[in-house]
Amino acid sequence: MAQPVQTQAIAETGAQAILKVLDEQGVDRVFGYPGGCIMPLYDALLESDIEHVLCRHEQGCALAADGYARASGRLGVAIATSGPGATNLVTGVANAMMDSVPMLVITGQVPSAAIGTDAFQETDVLGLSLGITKHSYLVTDPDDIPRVMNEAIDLAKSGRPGPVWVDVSKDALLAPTNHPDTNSLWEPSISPARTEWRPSVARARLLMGAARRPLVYGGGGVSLARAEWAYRRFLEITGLPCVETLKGIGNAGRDYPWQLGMLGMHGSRAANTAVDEADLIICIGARFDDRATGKASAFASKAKIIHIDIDPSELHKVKQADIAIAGPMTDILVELAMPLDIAPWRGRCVTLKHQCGFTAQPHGEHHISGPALLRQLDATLPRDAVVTCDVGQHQMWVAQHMRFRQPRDHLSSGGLGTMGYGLPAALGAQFARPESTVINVSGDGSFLMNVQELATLRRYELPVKILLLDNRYLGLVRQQQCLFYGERFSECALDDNPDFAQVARSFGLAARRLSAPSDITMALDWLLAQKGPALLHVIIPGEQCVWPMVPPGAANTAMLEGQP
Amino acid sequence: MTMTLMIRLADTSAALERLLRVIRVRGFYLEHCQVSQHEDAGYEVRVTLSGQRCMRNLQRQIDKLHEVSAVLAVSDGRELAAVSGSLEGIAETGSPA
Repeated sequence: MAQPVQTQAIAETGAQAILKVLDEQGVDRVFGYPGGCIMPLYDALLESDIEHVLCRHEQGCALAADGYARASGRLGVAIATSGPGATNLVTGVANAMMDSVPMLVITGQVPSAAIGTDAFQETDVLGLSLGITKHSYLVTDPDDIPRVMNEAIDLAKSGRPGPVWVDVSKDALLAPTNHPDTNSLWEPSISPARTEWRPSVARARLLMGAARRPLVYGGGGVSLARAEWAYRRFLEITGLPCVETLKGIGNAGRDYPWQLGMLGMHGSRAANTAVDEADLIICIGARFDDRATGKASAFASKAKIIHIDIDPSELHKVKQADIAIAGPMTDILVELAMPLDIAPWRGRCVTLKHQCGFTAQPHGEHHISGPALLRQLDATLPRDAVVTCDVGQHQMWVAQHMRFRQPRDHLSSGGLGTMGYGLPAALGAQFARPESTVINVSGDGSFLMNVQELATLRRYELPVKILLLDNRYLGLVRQQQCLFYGERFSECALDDNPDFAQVARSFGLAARRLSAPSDITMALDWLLAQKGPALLHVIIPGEQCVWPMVPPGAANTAMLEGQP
Repeated sequence: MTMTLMIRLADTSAALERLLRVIRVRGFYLEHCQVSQHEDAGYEVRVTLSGQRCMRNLQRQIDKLHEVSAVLAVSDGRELAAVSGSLEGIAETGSPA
């Protein structure tokens, strides 16, 4: 760390110092909710050029910051007060941690003299944050604020990104700072030297050259590393077939011929079969997550493994890699790329794709099929559209049946599986990409978890479109109870749902209800033609399941195609 | 399986809690813990751990912590393996379990 250089005191408060660092670091928008101990920061915001977005619940703030970060590749910033403000943030921060989203969280804390006295709205935020952040700070000295803020932002964005939480006592926000020059205190992170990973790349090329059935297994790390171009160039040069994780959807673009779709629990039989037949897996920015691998010991059991990741702790964690490469993905992929003589294997993968790809159950005469509807949406949306999902059956149908130009067009809560993610993420994405069509595909269970953010859409006139699939069930819970709990349905029925179109109208959104397959085209056209925020409430059958499905804990080869 | 780790830790709020949390969450049992102040500021933590999971993975998880500047696996005072300060030992074929 560079030595501090003492400079003349600058007459600014801790709160002003926070905003100054944000401004210097290029942050121009934050998502927050005011309250007692963070009020000095809100007072300083009145003189700041930073735009503040007032969400209607702190969880909405964190998830909106997450959506903003994923859609743009920039830092997401969430702000809240102490106590309940901070605890309400927790789910959104944990979501960012699990999916490695660069996020800065700022909370006010009770005055330093009151910390540890069980003061009003006091919570041990530093303690709460330990398991859900990349790092966290409690700041009680205003002079520490510039250093901590710069360090926190660098940590959030560098290496494997993640949320960093800065909790600042109210007295530190109010007090004048007498801080050193911020630049002298901040030493940006550096990438590992090329020499550290280069020998491994040479060995990986030998393995690739010898393989007859090599397969790429790409994840969310590709876009986090901003390596989309290098990844596609790598595929183009090698002609490697590939499968994608939920977060890796879009890595190969919409039209790569040897892309077999999502693997894993609700992946395609084509993808899971290719993994099982492969003799070499090249894992790029993925982590052998249990939803992707199923029973880990049976995953890619005939294959050697090359694992590329920026985070050394992911290497060998679930599957022992034959070659593990920790380093900058773009540089590694450029050096790894070489033409491969694997024409028969490509042919086999094309056959798998055509014979065992995803199939959408067609609409009935009187009912709408969720998967078929999403295929129609995919054909209707502009190419630069951003789709945010909640969690459940609709989320899996989006992953299976919609195609994406790039990973930042598909925002889905992968690691944590946060119901209620989609709506706040959509508003964050709309701020990040105001020219793009942003659509939240939601389910009736998830939608009510952050329904209050409809008020935020209205407040800022965000033209987010909501496609709400309503089957009056917690669909994935019902599906598992049907398949694995002897049809003993426990607390999964939501047959007392409100009239969602009426709810949306009460928040000032345009809204319609759709139940007849013959009206789908007209209804989707109506939704996308609305100038402001709008909701289309779609009635689908309660019994429809997501197929295929690998039973929890089973090998991916044991996938079910329908009810046994 | 037991193992002793020597960990160099910065003197910051919650650094020790963060370290112990990683040990617990990653599936290890703390048999013994000794914390002493280090001459260069910060702490030197000596932990003896037991568990069935891969110790090498735990070392990497600990090394990720922002406050940790060194992680050494030791036995009878002899250094066995270090992961800290570089990626050495990670970017290798078949890193040991």
